[in-house]
Amino acid sequence: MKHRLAGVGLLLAATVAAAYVVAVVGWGQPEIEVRLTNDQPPTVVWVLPGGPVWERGIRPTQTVTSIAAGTSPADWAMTTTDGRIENTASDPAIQLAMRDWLPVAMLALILCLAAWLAIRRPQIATALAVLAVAISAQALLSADMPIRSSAAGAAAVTAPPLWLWLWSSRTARLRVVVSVMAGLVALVWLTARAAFPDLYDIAEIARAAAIIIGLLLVAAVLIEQRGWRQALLNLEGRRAADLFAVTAVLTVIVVVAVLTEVPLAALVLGGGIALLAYPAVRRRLGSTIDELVLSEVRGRASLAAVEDERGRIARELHDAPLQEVAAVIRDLDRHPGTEKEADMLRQAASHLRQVTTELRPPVLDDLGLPAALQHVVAQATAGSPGIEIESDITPVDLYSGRAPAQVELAVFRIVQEAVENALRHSGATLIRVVARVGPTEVEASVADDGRGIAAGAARAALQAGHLGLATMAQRAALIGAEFSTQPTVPHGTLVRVHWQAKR
Amino acid sequence: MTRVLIVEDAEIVASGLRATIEQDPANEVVAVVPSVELAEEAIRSKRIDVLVCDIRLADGTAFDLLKRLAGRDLQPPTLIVSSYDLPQYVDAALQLGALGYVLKTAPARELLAAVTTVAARGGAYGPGLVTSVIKAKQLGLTPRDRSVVAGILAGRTNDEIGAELGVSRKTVEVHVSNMLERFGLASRVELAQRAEHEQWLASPVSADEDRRPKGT
Repeated sequence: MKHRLAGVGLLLAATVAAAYVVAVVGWGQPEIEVRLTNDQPPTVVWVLPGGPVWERGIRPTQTVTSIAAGTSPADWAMTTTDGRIENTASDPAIQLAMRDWLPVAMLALILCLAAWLAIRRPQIATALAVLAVAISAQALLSADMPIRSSAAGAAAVTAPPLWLWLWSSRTARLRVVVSVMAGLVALVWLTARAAFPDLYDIAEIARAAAIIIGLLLVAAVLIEQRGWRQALLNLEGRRAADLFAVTAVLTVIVVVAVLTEVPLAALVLGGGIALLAYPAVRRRLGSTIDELVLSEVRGRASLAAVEDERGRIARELHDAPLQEVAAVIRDLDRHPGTEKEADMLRQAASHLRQVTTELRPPVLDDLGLPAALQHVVAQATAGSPGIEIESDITPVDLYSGRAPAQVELAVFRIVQEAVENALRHSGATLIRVVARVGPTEVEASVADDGRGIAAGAARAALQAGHLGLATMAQRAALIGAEFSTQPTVPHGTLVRVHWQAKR
Repeated sequence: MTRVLIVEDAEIVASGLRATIEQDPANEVVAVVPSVELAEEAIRSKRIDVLVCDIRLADGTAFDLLKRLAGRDLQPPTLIVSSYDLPQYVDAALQLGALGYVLKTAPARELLAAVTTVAARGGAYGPGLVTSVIKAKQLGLTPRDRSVVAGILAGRTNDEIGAELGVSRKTVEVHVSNMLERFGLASRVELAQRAEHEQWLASPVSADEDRRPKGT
């Protein structure tokens, strides 16, 4: 629930920011800007690339020979040295509206960052999002028509995927929907522009929508991949915060400098002042990132601690009680009439063996990974009569070298867990375990023909720490191995781990 | 007189084993050592008829010891006396030339019988410890034979088995008819029934075993 609220906040803020970007790209720039000075002929300093003026062949640095003003902006005409055009879209009202929008958009961008920061504090994120929406709505209602229509159009096409995203965690489906919509909208834009010049406004709305959808698509892919999070985790918290802050300030300066007439010097000064406030932000940001990193480290440490403990208990059970029981049985051998007691002790020894083996199969340490994987397959086969278990495992070779002990252990646990998952949750009728084991490279996979892990279910399970998927991924990360789970055709899951020694 | 060397790092178990083995007056325990190092030394300096060896030793495993002995052509007939009944151990011991495998907790008569059998260079495996590899060895089945049996048990045709093993149907047919002849069976159905009943393939067959180059 908390994640969802934070997600809502993040997404709303992102939508506002995206709407701003659309407005800037679509209407934010005047079609043309002309510099008028007293002693020189007027010159063109800016033409919107791709716009109607641009298409008439007018480019910056050209000299303006005449400007004819009509009764409305649409009647304006301008002649440059390179050609003549019938009208321009240089509507001062639009420019004015954009300038009004700028602070709102800046606010939205900052809120975006804030919402991300507050992802672990959903209440703050939600409050910020509500604020952002309120300000945006106010700005939209007071804005001129083109911006309103742009925002309305954008909202109309982004609402359904947003809805999908929030109320179904199947982001895979979202990506498909968003991609198709982006394609359709772009098509509409191109067609409308080419075939119906009168529908220019509608075409531009479609273009705006396509851009918003594109942005959402990028965001969806980024979030899905979690690559940025991993990249952050590899940085020490405070250094990551520094990187963030500098990038953010630079971005703001550049954006403001490009879009407004505020002198660059003033902006740099403003940036400097902003950085004065940075230490406080740094503490906050740094500790948030450190927390993320630490939780990862703690997870790994506890995983290692549990493994150590299991190994220790298994060893102690082997070294003391199991040997003692064997010794007593040997003693009883010399006393006739104690067969019953000896049998009871054999039963006890068998239980001890079972517990020790479950904690950590001794063959893993004594014979290596292939033997341990054979053991997993044999156990699974014995324990689940209705399910066929195929295996293709590198044979035990006691003369060849072995991969490092922690690699063997990690891969063993991953395969064990994957087989267990397949048996317990997938409803599979066939499980296939394949392992190529060598001293410098280990590759193992477990495939089943079960119902598969829904993309949403996997994510939810990862977040909740269920299914062992998170643990498997963590074990793989600990030894520097690749780990993946993927659906198989027609249905089922393939879990794969691949380790290679560093050269 | 059968001269026995006991290699066992748990002292209480070692003395128990010694007492059990010496119950048979034909046996003489010449030494009890806890480690790979001392075991190798004892084997070098004394004549040993049977090596009775635990798997986990003070400074390594029985497998380490067997590898070292095999490299020097010193290996006496070996009986593994283990805490575990895992088939992977049994197969590994067999692979390294051990002749027998019994549990430490086995009844005295089983242990004594195993020592006697191994001394005579016969195979001795505790109940439930006869793995598919041993079974195949006892039955005289090659790894290829086992793969063919596995295919028959899975209900595959000779064509399919051949494709799976990368050999022609003809080759599979030869394997099948050889086995039918050897075991006095009339059909592949009988072969399947017999293999299933006697659990020829008690543990899963690794497809790779068949592709493994000789001598590894």
